[in-house]
This record gives sequence, structure tokens and C-alpha cells, in this order.
Amino acid sequence: MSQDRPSINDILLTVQKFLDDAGPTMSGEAKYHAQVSSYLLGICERELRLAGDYDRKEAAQLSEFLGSKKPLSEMTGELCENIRAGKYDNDWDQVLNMVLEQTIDKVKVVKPRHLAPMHRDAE
Amino acid sequence: MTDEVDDIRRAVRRRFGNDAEIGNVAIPTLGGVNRTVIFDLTEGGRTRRLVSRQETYSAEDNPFLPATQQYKVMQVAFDEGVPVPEPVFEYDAADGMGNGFVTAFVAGETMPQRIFRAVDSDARLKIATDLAALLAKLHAIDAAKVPFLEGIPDSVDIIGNYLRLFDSYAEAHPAIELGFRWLERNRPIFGPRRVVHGDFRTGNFMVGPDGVRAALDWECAHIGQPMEDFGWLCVRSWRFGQIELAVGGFAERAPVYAAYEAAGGDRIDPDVVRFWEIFGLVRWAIYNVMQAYAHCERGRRGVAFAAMGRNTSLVEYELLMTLAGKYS
Repeated sequence: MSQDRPSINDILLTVQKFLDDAGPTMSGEAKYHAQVSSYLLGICERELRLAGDYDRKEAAQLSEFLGSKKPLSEMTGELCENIRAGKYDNDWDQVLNMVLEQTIDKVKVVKPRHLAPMHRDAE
Repeated sequence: MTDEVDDIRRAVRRRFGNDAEIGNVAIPTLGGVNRTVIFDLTEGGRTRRLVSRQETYSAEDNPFLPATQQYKVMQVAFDEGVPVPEPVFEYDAADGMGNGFVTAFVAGETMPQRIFRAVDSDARLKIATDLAALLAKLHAIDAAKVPFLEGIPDSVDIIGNYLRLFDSYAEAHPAIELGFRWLERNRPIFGPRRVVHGDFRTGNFMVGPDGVRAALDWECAHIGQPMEDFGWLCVRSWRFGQIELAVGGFAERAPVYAAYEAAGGDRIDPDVVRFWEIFGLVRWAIYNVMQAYAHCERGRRGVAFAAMGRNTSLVEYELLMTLAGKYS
């Protein structure tokens, strides 16, 4: 499907800008919800832009770590079961670092400013 | 006269007589899952400012203490001299208002950023040492005075209870699994069990110019390890940007631990606090998962709940950075 301009990311940023402008003129709960809505649209915009790469990277990493190739959600489930069963107790730092890396990517979508400076992308 | 507080007026008159009047009504906008109403009660020639709280969300998987038990814990805490809003009365079946209660209104500020802006470093330290003294007093309460707390899941095995709760959402979270595994492998030897507040964090106590005035939000009270309250208070999310001040964004750890011991609390082992702090991060991550679950599966929808679901990853990041020794 070939859509006309603007792109989905552009639309999200445009609606987000509207909420950022309109929010401060509201009061009480509506003002708060406008802020949160803008925040959610920011997540959508970044996810559309970044999730494809992050998912591929995460799948490749998990596939190598687990030594099997399955859909991402199945591999994540397997990782969770193995952690709980204590299979990585002797490789703790390795699994911790891998999960940290994947969590950093999640945060880059949700709220990049939340990351410690050492994990932030150059702006 | 009929208005939005008609039911509260009826409940008040049942207890204080038909001359009792309520006025100066304020309804906070961010009441969360409760209906909260602040009002003046005039009866018997005096006027008091009171707060009414009613449960409006009572799903069977609601992990919080029933209102009637919260009220009893607050009553015992109040009687023992813990700063807490004075309990006034509890709603009953004849009120037809569900579960809830009325307490004295305590003036002051709960919003973290407003408190931080209003105080200098001396006042911050005073607040933190007040918190330590409050906890020492709370933890000294004889648990036999609140026997009904013994039966609740958080009192039996709080970590196991949160694992069960987490499993009930059937979501894969490797970071939370790592947190639970760490807790499993690093569990300290537990000491005597005490009455703990369970949700003692910046935002849940009232602060005035004179220091800490009241501990609020008793819906997570239970019997457990006293250091659980310290661990929760030190969780990074409750520092609200003041990340170097581990105790709720108010002070560093050492002077607060010393204040607790000086106020009669047991000696504090920093490693035990760290254990409960990591449990606190796990718990807070699960709480966010729970909000997403209620939003996606239970029809309790809204932008704030949706955002909390996504904020799970922010807590997971803090948990993993803490486990990796990069955050303290």
C-alpha cells in the first residue's frame, strides 16, 4: 500500500505536538492525561522507528545464547524458564548483561532519557 | 439538599446527629482507585477537617488490605503514637457506601517535587530522620495487637506472594526472573517479624515545615521483616530524581540508619536493606505489569494505566543496574 504523506511517524509527532500545546490549557485530571497521552504517542513513534532493528538484534542474540532458533516470544519464554530453574547461576554475569542490553533497547523506545549517560545514544 | 457528598452527609449524621454539617468539600483529582473526599465536619460546636476514603476497585485479585483492616491498623498505630491521621469512623453496611473510612485531615504536602523544592538540606535530613523514628516506633508495635494481619499472603511469604501474582499475569519478563532468582540465592537470615507499613515511600507521607506529620496509605500493611520498609523507601524510583539521596530522595543512608537505631530500632545491616531494595524493585516492576494487565484484560482502561505498563521496562532497567552493581 502506498500511502500519501504525511508518514505515520509524522502524524504521531503532529498529534503529540497538539497535546503538548493543548495540555497546559487544561486543568486537573485532563491536563495530566494529556501529558500521559503525549508520552504514549512518543513511545509509538520511537517503536515504529526502532522496534524492527531491536527485535532482529534480540532474536539473534537469544538464538545464539539458547542455541536454538524459534520465534522471539518462545525464546524469551525459554530464557525465563531457564533463569527460574537456575540454569544460568554459573553464568550469571553473562545472562545479566544480555538481559540488561535488551532492557536498554526497551527503554530506548519507552523513555530514552531514563537511561544512565553510559547507555544513551548520542543525540 | 442533594449533592455529590449526600451519602457522606448521611453517614456523618448517623453518627454525629442531624445537626452535623459538612462543608468546604474538596475532591482531589488523582485519587487513583479510591474515591477520596476532604470536608469540614461541624458537630457539637466544633469543626474538624476530615478525609473520607472509599474503595471503588474491589476485584477479587485486588492485592490490597481490605479497608476495614487498614482502619484497624491505623487505629493501633495511632494509639501507639505513630504519626498517622486520627481514625474517626468506618463506613458500615447501613451506610451503603461499600468499604471505607474517615480520618482526620493532616495538612501538609505529599508531592515529592513540591517537598524537595520547599526544603533546604537541613530540613531534608530532618525529614529523613523523622521517617527513621516513625519506622522505629511502628516496628516496635506488638504484632499481637493486629492479629488479623497474620493471615494475609504478604505476612506469610511476601516474596512468594509476589511471584504468584507475577505468574498470574503469564508474561515473560527476563529481568523480573533475574530479580527473583537473585532473591532466591541471596536471602539473608530473617530476624524477628514486625508490623510493617508495606508502602512506606516518598509520596505516601505528609510533610510540613516541622517535618513528617503522618504516614498515609496503609493498604499494604502486614507482618514481616522490618528492613522491608527501609528497602522500599530506598527504591530508586522513589528518589524522584534525587538519586544520590538514597533514602527517599531526602538523605544518604548512614545518618538515617543511625537515627533508626537511636530511636530504638534494631541494628541495621546495609546488605539486608539492599536485599529488600532489590525485592522492592521487583515488586514495583510487577505492580506496573499488573496495571497493564488490568488495562488489557480487565477493562480498567486508561492512559495512565497504559503508560504504567510500558514503564515496567524503566523499573527493570533500574533493577538490572542495581543487580550489576552500577546503581546503589
